[in-house]
Amino acid sequence: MDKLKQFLLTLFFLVHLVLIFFQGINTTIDNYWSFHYKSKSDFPKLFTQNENNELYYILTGINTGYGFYGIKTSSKKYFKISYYDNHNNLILTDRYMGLNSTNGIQRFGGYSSYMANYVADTEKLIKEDSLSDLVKFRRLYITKSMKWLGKKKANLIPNCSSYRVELLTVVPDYYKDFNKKIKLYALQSNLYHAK
Amino acid sequence: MLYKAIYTTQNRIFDYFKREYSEASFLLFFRIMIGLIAIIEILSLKGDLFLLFSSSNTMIPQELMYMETGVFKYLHPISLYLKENGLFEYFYTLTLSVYILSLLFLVIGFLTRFSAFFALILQLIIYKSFAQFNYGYDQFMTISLFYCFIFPVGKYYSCDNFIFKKKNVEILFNYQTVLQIHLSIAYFFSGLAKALDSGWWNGKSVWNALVSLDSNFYPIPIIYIVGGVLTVLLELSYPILVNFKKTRKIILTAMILMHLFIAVTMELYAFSTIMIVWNIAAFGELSLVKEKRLENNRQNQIA
Repeated sequence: MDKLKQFLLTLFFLVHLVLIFFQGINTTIDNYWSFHYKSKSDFPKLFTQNENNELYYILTGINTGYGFYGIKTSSKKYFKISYYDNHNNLILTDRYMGLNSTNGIQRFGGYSSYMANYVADTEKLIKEDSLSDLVKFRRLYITKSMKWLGKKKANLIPNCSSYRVELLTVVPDYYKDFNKKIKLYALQSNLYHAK
Repeated sequence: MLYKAIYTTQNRIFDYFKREYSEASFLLFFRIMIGLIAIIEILSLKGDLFLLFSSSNTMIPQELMYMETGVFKYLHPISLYLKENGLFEYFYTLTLSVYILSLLFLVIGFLTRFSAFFALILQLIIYKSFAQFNYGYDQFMTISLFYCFIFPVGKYYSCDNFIFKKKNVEILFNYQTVLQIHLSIAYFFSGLAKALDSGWWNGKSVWNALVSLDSNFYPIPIIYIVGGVLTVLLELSYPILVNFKKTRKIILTAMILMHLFIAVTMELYAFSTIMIVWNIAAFGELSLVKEKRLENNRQNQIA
């Protein structure tokens, strides 16, 4: 009985570790290819995550690559919301959307990066076919997501009539002015009515 | 000839995962640390959690947060079911409470396997609900809770052991090896991905990762270059260096320092802590404490 248990455990973990190894290979190749050749790789792939085994990957947490900050480390991204009154005067600006903890603010930084990638991918799709349903959906998704970020606070400010949500990126010019003030560039900027 | 080669390889693999002595310290350390980190991490979000996980107060509607992620098809039916049955309002508070309770049970080793399973499922439900706000920590916590569910982490120094008076049967399978291989794969591919990016060799990627509007961390450029090259070399060589006794302590110390540096400069405290715990659990010399204790137990039993 013990021997059988030992055998089954070894077999299970062997398969599990093989899946992790190939997930590492596949994600590294995919990321490298998509960054350098702007396309999907043609390499034959073994043990890939698919619809049949997806649930196992999610439950075990192995649905990830390990190239954290690896290929194409991008600069930090931020959301900034500016609230305006009827006369278009600035009332206040906000970058944290009510988040107070370091943990929450760090996670929001991750969301900003996610949205920046989403915007960039949508731009690529627009170049291919600007009228496709996918592009329409993604545009709407960006607009709605950004609208929600400032909506609640805009409703709480009595004289607020509009607000602008900007997705900003640190300009990655490390060699030019590494020790000077950081420059920011707006990747997306949308204006919304408050009420 | 071929049969013999297959047979020998198979035996080698099985021997690699075989262990003649128990893993009490490893299992105990892993169970308690993972449980504690998960509790501290979610409590550190307490004031902000309603903005990420609640029925109506999230900064972006909950479904919009996971709509464009791979978990939509799993979370959306749950959400619909809860709404149809009027359970939506209670779900969020209840889920968080049961999650923290499961983690507490995991720490003390009470109904350990069930607690680990509940913690794993609830961790996925909670954190995948704001999947776009996830980062490396969440993935490693899912993996850790899965290992807490699969490994017999409640076998030693647990309430289960005390209440159910289970015999401490020697475990022949080497669970620590699983963690060692997983960690080595993770570091190797992390290093490989970085090595393929020129930015990690010229300091640009470290600059990108560190420089933010909220920090005042601006060292001289050579630090970025040295930091980048060292990170690549450490991660790539980890699977080899950690397997030699002479270099193990050096590489472990270097990795722990690297994670402490990440914690301080990037404020990724939870991620750094879980990685340090993985390093210590996988390769730290916890066996000295364990073997002594087991010897005492055996002597007591004989007496």
